[in-house]
Amino acid sequence: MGSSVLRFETKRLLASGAAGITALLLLGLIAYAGYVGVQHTSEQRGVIETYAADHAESLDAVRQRVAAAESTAVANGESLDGPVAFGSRHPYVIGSAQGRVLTLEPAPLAAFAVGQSDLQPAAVRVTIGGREPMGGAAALDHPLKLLAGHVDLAFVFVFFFPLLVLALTFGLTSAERESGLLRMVLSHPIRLTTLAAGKLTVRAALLFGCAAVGTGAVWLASGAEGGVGRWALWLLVVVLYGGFWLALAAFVDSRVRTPVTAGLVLAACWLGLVVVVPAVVNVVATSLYPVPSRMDYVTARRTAAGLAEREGAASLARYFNDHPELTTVEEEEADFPMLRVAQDERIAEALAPVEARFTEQKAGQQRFVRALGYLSPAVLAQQAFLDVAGTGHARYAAFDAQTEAFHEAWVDRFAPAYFERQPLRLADLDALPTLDPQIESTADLLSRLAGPLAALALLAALLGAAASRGYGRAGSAL
Amino acid sequence: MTLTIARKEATEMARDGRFRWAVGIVLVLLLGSLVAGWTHYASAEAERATAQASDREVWLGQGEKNQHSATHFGAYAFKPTTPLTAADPGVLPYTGTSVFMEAHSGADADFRPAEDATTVQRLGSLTAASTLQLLVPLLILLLAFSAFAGERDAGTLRQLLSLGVPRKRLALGKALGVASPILLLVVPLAVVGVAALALLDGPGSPLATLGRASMLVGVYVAYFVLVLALSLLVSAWAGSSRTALVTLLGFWLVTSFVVPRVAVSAADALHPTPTLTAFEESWRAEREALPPWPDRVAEIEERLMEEQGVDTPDAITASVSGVALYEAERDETDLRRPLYAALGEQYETQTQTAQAVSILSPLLAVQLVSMGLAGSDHAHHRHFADAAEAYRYDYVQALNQDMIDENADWSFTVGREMWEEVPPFTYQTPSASWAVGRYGLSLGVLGAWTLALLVALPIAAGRLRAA
Amino acid sequence: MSAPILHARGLTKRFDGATAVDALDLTVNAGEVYALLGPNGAGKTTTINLFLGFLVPDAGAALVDGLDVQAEPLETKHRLAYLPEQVALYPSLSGVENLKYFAALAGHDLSDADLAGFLDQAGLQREAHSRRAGTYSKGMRQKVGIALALAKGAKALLLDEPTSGLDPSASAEFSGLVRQLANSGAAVLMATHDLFRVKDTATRVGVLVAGRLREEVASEALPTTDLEALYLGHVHGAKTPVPA
Repeated sequence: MGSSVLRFETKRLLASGAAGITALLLLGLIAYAGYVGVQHTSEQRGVIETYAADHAESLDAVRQRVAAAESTAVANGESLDGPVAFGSRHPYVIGSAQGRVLTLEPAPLAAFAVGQSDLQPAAVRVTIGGREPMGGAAALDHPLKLLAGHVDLAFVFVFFFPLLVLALTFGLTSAERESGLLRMVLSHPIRLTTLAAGKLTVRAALLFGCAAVGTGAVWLASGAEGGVGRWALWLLVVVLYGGFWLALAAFVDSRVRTPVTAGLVLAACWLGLVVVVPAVVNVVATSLYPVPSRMDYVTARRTAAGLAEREGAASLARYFNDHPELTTVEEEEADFPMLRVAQDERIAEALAPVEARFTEQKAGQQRFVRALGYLSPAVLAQQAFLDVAGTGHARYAAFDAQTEAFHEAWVDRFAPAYFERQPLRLADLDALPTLDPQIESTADLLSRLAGPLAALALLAALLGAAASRGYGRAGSAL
Repeated sequence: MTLTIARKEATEMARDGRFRWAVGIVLVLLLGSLVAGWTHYASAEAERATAQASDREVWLGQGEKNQHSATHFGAYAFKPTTPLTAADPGVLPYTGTSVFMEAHSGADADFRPAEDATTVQRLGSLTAASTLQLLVPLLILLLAFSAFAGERDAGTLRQLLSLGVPRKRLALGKALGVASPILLLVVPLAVVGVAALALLDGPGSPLATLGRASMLVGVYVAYFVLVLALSLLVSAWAGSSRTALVTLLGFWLVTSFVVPRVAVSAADALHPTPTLTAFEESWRAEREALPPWPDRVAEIEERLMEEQGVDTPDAITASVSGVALYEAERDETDLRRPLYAALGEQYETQTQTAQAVSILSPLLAVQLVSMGLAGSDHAHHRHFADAAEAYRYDYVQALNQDMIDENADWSFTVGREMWEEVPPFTYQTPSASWAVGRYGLSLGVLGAWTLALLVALPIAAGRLRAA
Repeated sequence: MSAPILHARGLTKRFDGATAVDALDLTVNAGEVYALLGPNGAGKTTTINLFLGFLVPDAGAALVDGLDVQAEPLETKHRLAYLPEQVALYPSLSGVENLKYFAALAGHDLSDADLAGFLDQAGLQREAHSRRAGTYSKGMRQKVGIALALAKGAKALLLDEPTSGLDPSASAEFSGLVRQLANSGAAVLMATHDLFRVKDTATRVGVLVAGRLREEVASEALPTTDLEALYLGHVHGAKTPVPA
């Protein structure tokens, strides 16, 4: 009997025009959002390539200057391994002046969600002095555009997909109840639950089918380098999030008498869960865990820098105290790079508590949002989508941690060389520390998203069960 | 008779439990967002004032150094905001909060608050502005959609018209009936808000803020009237209340969530801003027109030798470095400012394009004007950045000039007295008329919509049919 | 005599304290057309809803072909065909398509020829078979309902005010179809207040007032009974029940 419902509902849905309109609307939105995403990602790639090319070019220039300086030194009969003065052969030219540009390549599914990539850096220049973020493709975008947000696939699925789900399902059985058809249908050996399930299945197949086809096409258009697993994961989020809305529609349908009431209740749910709750979560998070003002940070840095500069000699002495492995150099013998390193470390020390406060508050806010996100499936879905696309908080936090570790490695590589006056050799330029920009594996991603995804599945299951109970109630046919 | 109808409408609404709930929720959200917005504004403003004062202390206490070294030690300008940004923070989260003012550099502000925020922010934030822009209009249309269509569905319209009630009076009565509960909700809030602003001492004169606040209230009230008129119009035209509801909800959804995104995307597509790398590349290209430092110094030495009638550079009795620094700063600034001005113009063109698109969504016009009046739009940010750049150039050149005046070389140093001569950075928020001036197009759109609706409504009411 | 196809046994249903059907005992055998007469609110539709399993009885049971409706909800519906006052059909589908779907729900996968045969039998004109049901008159929809009962091979028919709103000729045609179904062995329970139709369709009549079966008139007594007087007597006497 279930199969008759499926066959019949498919035919009816296809004949009604609603299916065509919904499919067209969804595929159209996906196509536009895909275009926006692919465009943004290719611009981002362009910017990253420019950074990488500029960096390679400057490295070449350094290489040529070192080579020239080495031949001059050889011509002057100097040893190439002897102590070096501040100049073209000093490691400072790489360690502090040039540094290393670390780029954050877009993840395989980056075109699916612009996410934070329009706010966060596309690359970071690491020098002994610190890490300098380098803006991405959207760095000079009109702030209105950042405020309004992009119509990317994440937006389409978090925001519009539920509306399409609801538009197609809000009168699931109540429309037939209103027209008297339900009594006719239920006078046959079929349960209301089976009927509703059949109707839902057809609608789900249509919506999820369009989603799979549409996003698949975008994935292919975006170059499709790897990322099948991520695409599957994206679809999983779509299915669970869409499943929640389908189950909610069924639940409401099972409890109200008319499609108009169902429509109003579901519209209110959408407004509440997609628009109001995220906005409230955001306000509560920023009010409970206010990130200290960056103005404080600037002031602290200025004060620390001023202090370190004034106490040049003291900074140096302290530096040797902290680094007993280094041979102490007297202040009058110390050159500019040594003083710079010592000062930078003083500044970093002074800033450490301020930065810790920042990190702590930001992490608190993030944890809070993760926890409160469970109040709204839209928040869960949005975060999951961004994580799958690799443009969310997790990816940027991971990149931040990676560059921070890299910075430490960079300082360890070059600071001792400054104090030992080791010359920079050509070979050194080919053996600079590198960063392996690891992209989280799909399995790791899945296990990290397990909580939110399980929550979505559980919510959908609970609503589905409640709907089934509602449909099974005595009198539900009337 | 009009009042009788209005009273009946208001009574019906007041007795509707759903209406009371909806109004309650919107009111709670509005008050909550105002409190949160105010708390945030007050702490940010206090932090800013402290930071600006302590940066001045750092400047004064920087110790003995060469004048030009001080221009690299630099100073910070922290962006103040008006108290109205508590209600509408606009693009503030997406614009920098501080400008580092240093020689040879004219960078835009750093540290956009959004960079430190969680990703939920991108789903939208609860502010008084978003409540007024999204939820109050929704409430109005939910109250008004059935005004005529509902009576037609129920058959009571036939009865009313058979009693000889003039259609236009009926329309006016309905409008007043729906408007009065909304006004009861909005007007006290507006009065309290404006009065609170008047009592508070924000940056800039309180009266300026008061003017902006009054206009802000006016814009929102005008928009509510517009939504009400539109709802009544659709209700009169639609065959059934279901059609009226679907039409109005569709309008709300499209104007609230689709048009604003499409408008800014279209503006960006039509008048694209450069990528950062392209912008930096064009600055590099411009800068190549300037002579390299040694050439500049040689040219100045030659010029001074000629002026002073001496034969060797060592004999020059003026600060070659000072003159070189002064002229380099001037030349660089002359090249850089047009670049930034062009970028700024591009932003302004994008804003204007978005305003033109707002003909499709009067809400977008309201959003743009609201940010402008609150001082949280990009134009105000640019105004601040321009003020910082003007200050930067003046103080850097004053110090470079001092090198010239003192005939100083690189080893010459000055101290606190000199630093005190540099005035502290102050910023004056532009006037309300300046703010409004940029949004003529949006105000025109709002006016056109209102006018069209006020013309169409009596016509539709006059043609009202019972079935 | 064989077991009744429709059997109400002490069937009772209350709504918010008001008793809609009160300890109803009723049987309809194969080949019988049982007319349940009664004013609005007498409990006729509630009785039919109880046989359909749409409502749960507070006491007693409704049996179809000896099976308890509550215990065997799907099995009993295989044996039932139901025609409400307004036979509702999917307006965008044709009569044939509607019939095909409903028959499929009952587990019958019928060929187009079979379906057309049933519609013919029910008297639906050929040209209407493939027309959208949205364009059908009430009488045409009733015919699709009858065709459905035929297609299902239902042992019992539940008719709820089937002739109200039909013009006299359509009404007569419908009564003929019902007789035909009964003659071929179906048990028919017909809730109605159309006294005129009852006279020429029913084989047995029960008068239901305030949920109680006041009187049954057997088939042999029917031709001689003044139904109108009987009905009005019970309806007006309902306020002061006649002592048994």
